[in-house]
Amino acid sequence: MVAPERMVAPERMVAPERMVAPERMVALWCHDWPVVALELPLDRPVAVMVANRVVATSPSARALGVRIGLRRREAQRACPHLELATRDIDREARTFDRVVSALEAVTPRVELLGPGAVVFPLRGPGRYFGGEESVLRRVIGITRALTPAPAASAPTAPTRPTAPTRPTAHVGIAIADGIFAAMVAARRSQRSEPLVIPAGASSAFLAPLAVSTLDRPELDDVLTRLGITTLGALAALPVRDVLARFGIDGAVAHRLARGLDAQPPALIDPPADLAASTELDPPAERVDQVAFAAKALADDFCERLAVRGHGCGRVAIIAETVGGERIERCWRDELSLTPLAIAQRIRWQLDGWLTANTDRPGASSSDRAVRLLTLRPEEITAATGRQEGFWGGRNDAAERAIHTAERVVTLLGDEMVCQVIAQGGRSPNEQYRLVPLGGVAPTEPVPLARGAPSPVWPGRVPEPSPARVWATPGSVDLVDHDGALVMVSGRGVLSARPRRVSIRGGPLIDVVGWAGPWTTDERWWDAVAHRRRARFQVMLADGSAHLLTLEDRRWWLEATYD
Amino acid sequence: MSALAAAPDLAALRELVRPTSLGTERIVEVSAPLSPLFPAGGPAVGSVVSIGGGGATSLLFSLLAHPSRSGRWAAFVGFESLGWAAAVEAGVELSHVIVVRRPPSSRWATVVAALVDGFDLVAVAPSAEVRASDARRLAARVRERGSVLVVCGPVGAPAGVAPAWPDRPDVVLSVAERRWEGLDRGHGRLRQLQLVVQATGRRGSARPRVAELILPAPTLPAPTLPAPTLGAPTLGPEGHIRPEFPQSSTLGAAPGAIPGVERHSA
Repeated sequence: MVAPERMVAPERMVAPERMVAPERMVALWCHDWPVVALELPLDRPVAVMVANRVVATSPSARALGVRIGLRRREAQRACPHLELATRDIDREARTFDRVVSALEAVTPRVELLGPGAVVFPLRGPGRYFGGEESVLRRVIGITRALTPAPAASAPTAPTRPTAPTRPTAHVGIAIADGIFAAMVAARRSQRSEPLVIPAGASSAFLAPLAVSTLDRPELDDVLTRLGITTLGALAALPVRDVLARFGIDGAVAHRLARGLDAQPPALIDPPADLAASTELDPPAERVDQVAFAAKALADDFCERLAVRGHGCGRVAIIAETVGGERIERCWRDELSLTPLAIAQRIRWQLDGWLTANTDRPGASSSDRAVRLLTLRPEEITAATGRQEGFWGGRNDAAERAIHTAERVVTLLGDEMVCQVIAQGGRSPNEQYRLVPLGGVAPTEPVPLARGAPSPVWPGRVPEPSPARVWATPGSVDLVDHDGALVMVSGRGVLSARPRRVSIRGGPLIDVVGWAGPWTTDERWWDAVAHRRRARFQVMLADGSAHLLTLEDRRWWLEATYD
Repeated sequence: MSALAAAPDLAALRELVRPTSLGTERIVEVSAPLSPLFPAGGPAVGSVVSIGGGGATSLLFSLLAHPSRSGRWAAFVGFESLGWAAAVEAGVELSHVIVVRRPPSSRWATVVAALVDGFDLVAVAPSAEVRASDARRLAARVRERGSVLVVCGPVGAPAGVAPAWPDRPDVVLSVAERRWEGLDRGHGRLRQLQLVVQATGRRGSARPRVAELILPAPTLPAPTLPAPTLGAPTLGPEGHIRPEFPQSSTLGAAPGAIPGVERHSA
């Protein structure tokens, strides 16, 4: 049997999984960090939005049923007086930097997962401070002393009756084997009581939890339908079968469910020559000056790794200042960091640091300017073969367009920004449908878009199609030589030749060409959806051409050949 | 050194110091029938183009078709009713198209300005009158971001009537002549649209230009459409071959000769 881990990482880099248990980790999770970082009150219903979706809520909003992932309108339906705010992830990272620098008093190996989430291995500080309890006490002391944001002081629960009216954030702290288990435990540690999962008990702790804990929506759905609802049930499946059915992502989920790390621990250090650095000349005093250099550096770094078939799961970002200071932070991702993600983390790190230092007296701004930027891989993994789209994924134009469209969604609401999807049908207004942007991936290929829709719809209006299809059909009077309305009998016989037409109550215009009736009798088996129509193409003396419909003895303007 | 000997150098020098016109170097390429309308072969990046006259929508689709297929992104703002089937037939790649429904007039300029940032082509159908200050600001934004703003007039506007746009667009396209082929009294169907498009405008586009557009674009060299003759088999709207009788739809015709009476089930 071939262990799937060999496919994830080359054998020589990786310990056999039975031999190496995941490292014991301390995890800190700041609850509702996006809300706290924006200095919004936690005791009032608040929701933080991105692209019209709720990404974080205050506890009181949660109590009213505002869940993460809801659209704005749905959230407001649950709670009409909900306060909405747009997520500011840069600010979250900037504010969080204080927590990270404070934690450096306990351990030098702080690893950031993102704003509000941080882990560090227990081994070193555990021995130094003399045991888990001692480390926990210190960490709790640090989080208590910190006011991560003015809105959050002591990590006390907001629901406690004695709690002051001032809103407070709380920090979940946990110790467990493996990053995933520790992070899950930290998220579950309510009321700032640290949750300690005994050594070797991570898989037992995870087993009763729902598969949604994995935060992999597409996997979640399939697993639930297969009857695998808990992580324990997933972990009980044979590795081979999970890999065969769900691919690399499924295998990673399976590892996590078993209480292991996403990647088997690496036993050898990455070669030193993989580090990439760039000198900033002139030194950058503001973050935006670093942005371009950061992206180029991250691209270069990832390119060098990719040539060797590696990805980077943990990267140290080191910035050196003119004044000789050195800011080093370690960033971790479950699998591997993309160039864009690394560039973003560089920006977060420097933003947090540069902002924190503006308050510091004494240091002049030129001393604080960043002179050298280095990326050092801390843990390399085999590239898992992240599959790009057939045309090389999204290019710049697509990224820009999608980003812009998302911004317009935040301006107008998501029903207002749509994509056109082919769906087939007889009438011009049935063949394509506008779908709000949130519902589909914008680069999803439209299957029937080119040329004639592949399934032939008998009786559909022939090509060329009308360029304007009226959403609300206008009323029309199509009259014959004597001024009487033209009618079509049940057998499709025309009462008289059309002579003049008045559109939307306008003047009568001569008909110079016409064809019809093209009768359709759709859904005759359904009493409600049944439609019996006769269509006409008419060409008028003013040069315009229209598609008219006769239904229930009334004429309508269905479309215009503009 | 004599002046004569220096002459070739002077020519080279003149070439060197001639004012660089970046605008004409960067264009959005359009399909071949439309390129004669623009001095550089396509609308310049950063320009405002207006489209008006009967048949403007078909012209709009043709204008956007080639760019959308060559990877550019287009946004449509405020169009009530576009026939997407016609857009696809004209060659528009719908996976590169975003449709924004009509924004409230107070937000209109903000939305269009935001779209100009990220889309190569932004087609707008202004509902009410656009404020002159908004129009100028949008034009400046379009120039800065290197987008193309296409202002489309209402349907049914007579030839030569430009859409309501307070600023003077860089290029004004108007349908001067429109002719549908293939439809007669009681038979045939609309088959081909011929548009004569006239372009005027500012600066390089000041000299009027004319182009003829045939839709759908003929794949074979200009098929002349014969008038349907009695009994000639033609493709009906149902997609079957059936005989077509010019007098078939008149009252006195035999019921069997009426086209399209068969019942279709979805």
